Amino acid sequence: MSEEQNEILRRGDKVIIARGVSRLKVARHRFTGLFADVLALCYLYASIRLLILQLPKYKEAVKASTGQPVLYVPWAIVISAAIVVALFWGSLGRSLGGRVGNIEYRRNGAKKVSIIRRLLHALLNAIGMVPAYIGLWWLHTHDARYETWTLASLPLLLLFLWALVDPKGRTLVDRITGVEVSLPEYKEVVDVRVRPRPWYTRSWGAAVLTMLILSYTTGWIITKIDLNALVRDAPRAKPLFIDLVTPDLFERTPTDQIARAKYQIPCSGNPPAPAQVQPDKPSLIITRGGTCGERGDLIAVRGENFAPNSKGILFWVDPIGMKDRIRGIQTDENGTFEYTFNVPNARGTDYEIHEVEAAISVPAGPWRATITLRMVIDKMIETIFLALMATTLGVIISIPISFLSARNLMIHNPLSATIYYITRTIMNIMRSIEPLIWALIFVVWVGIGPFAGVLALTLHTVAALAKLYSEAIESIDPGPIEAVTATGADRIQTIAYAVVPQMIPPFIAFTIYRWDINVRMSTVIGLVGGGGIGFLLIQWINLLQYRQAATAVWAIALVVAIMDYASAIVREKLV
Amino acid sequence: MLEIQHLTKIYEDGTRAIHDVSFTVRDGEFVILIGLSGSGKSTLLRCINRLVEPTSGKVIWNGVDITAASPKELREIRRNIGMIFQQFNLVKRSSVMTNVLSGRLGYVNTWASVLGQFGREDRQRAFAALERVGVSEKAYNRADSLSGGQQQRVGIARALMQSPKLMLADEPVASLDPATSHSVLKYLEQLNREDGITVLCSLHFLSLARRYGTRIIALKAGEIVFDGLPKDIDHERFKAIYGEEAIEVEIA
Repeated sequence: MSEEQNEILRRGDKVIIARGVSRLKVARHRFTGLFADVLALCYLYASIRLLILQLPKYKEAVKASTGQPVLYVPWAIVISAAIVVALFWGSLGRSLGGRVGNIEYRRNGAKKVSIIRRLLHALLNAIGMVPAYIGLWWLHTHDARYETWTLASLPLLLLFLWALVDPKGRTLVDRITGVEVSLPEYKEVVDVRVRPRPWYTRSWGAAVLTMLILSYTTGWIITKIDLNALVRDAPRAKPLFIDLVTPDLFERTPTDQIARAKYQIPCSGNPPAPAQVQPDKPSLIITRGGTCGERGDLIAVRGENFAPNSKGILFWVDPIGMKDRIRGIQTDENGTFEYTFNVPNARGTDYEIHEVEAAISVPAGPWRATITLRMVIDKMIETIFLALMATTLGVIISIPISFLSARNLMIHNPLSATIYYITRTIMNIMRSIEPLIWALIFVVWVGIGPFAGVLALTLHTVAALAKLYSEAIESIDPGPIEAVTATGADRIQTIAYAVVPQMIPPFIAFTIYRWDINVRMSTVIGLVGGGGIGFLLIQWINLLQYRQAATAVWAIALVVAIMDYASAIVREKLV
Repeated sequence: MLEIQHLTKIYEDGTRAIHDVSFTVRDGEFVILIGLSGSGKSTLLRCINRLVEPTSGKVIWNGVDITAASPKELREIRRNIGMIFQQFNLVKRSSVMTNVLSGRLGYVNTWASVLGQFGREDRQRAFAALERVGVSEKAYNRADSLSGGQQQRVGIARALMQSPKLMLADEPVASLDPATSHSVLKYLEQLNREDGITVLCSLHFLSLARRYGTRIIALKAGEIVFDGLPKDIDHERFKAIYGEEAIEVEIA
């Protein structure tokens, strides 16, 4: 053991545990660190500004202002200032960027840097930024921000160019102050007896804490969270909830209670006998004006023994049986009603007999599904088949693609590696676009209807499954492949006997998982015209028919729950 | 006769697994490879059937240079070399029968085999092989439902389907308990004695090596440090192979 290694190491000392750190790597880490610091500072600035703007004084100013932003500082100035602060921060201690970029300054030869050197380091860095200050001043007087950008970025560029030239990745300032940068390859020696300072007392920790607090404060303001409204306005939602729990499912077929009374126009010597009230049978009698008269005479009718509290219609029936609606009627709790009206100008020759008819509609027939329910079931079937088609098509297309995007199969030669990267990129882009947006595109392309929904879901399924499948291929056990290859099998046989059997369980699991997602997605894809139940749902919501909408919502919930349960069972059995 | 000439393997990350290894194995020998983990035993075995491409050197088997074989020739050579593995390398979800039949892939038509069409003769042969290693009653069970020892015997049956003239065994008993280890090695010994199959087997336990091997080759850091009869490994040699601090443990 050498003398050097026997020396007692203290906390903060650095020991080299790996060599061969390139200057490019050091420069990259430094840049990452500085970038993170600048980003953090800009974020702090932006959120504090936003909070200040919420103060009543500035809120007024924002409302009153026409175009010119309140409290505006040009971004060039903000960023340049952030760079300067970041340089100070990084030099004076462990900055957030130092933490992110995994860099720390140390004296040449793995010693700690004294505070004097740190100050000097920071000052020199600040002096290096002088052209930036000049640029900022110039901006202030000339209002020409783009030129300033160049000026502000120049010293920084020089700083890092120098770091690229230096064999140890040091900048000019580092060299003058005798500081170098340590990377994670140099591990800090930690004395277990000394409790490290808690993270929130460190500058980077405090910065993170401040950023978190600011984020949640601004988040609260931006999303306009209003607990008061949540409690105070709850009654507004009551009718909606009532509609939601009483979906429009079944109804009884209505039957009509009908009663008629005769009336002659005009009176002859022999008018019809007045109708009599028959016990326990709906009856209609004319209570005023007699059973004959002229057109336009005022008469009154009275109904008895009808169903209580029901609605109906009063008709005038002319001699050839044509009905004319006189008015709507409603029975009271005893099943009676009385209405007065003028005899209408009905057709008919003299002395013919007309009739007054009261038809009260009562839901007394057999129960049956409402039109709403029938529409919902109809569209639900469409929805399920939409999901089935999209899943099937997606699986068929994604299997070959998954082989093209499996790293372990494609990375061996440059051509296949290129295909691999291209496929992966396309799939990543396709996956990050929501099916609803794809549906919008296809609705324009192939027209409103389930086909657009199938296409949209297929596309998203392909993108998602290709990734999952290819990951399954990448994670198979290479052992059986080795064993089958060793028997003298060719490539196709090896895939058939060692790769495919291993892929079946994950393939089935992912396919069912996707089918599950597709059923869920297909219920909403109709919102934009992609067919399925979503189409009905959005229509009813727009027409404020919440009871009908509730029927659709319950149907979706039921189907999704069943699918969920079924897929869990299938997955358990197969995998 | 298997001749290994100046075989060297350097992996892409710069690891030198074996370095200038040369030896000759006569037909019918039961050669045991010993050495610490990472001494190059697995790499050496895999270079013989080119599961690992050697960086330099030659492997000549019965006058044919395996290292220079074309892909088609290589497949024909491989089907005469059986191999069993520490982790058995069975396809866990497939049946024992399918796993055993896969040993015959080098002999059958590609597309017929992809469709699972093996001849009656091959199926009978598979049953015979399973009978021989004593797991025929498990033929239609899933491979992962078998115990470790049974799985390794299925591995042997798979290798038997190749009608091999040479058997490579890469630490075949390292995942097994002592009793099962003996039973597996006894099957290998039987194949060696009754069928005259040359066996090249890497092992961890010197006691097992002494019991089953007709010859022992010891590797250390990718080079041969001993090549001779089991009885010649004394205390000094043991230390040279396994290092100063090693203690020999007996396996019952």
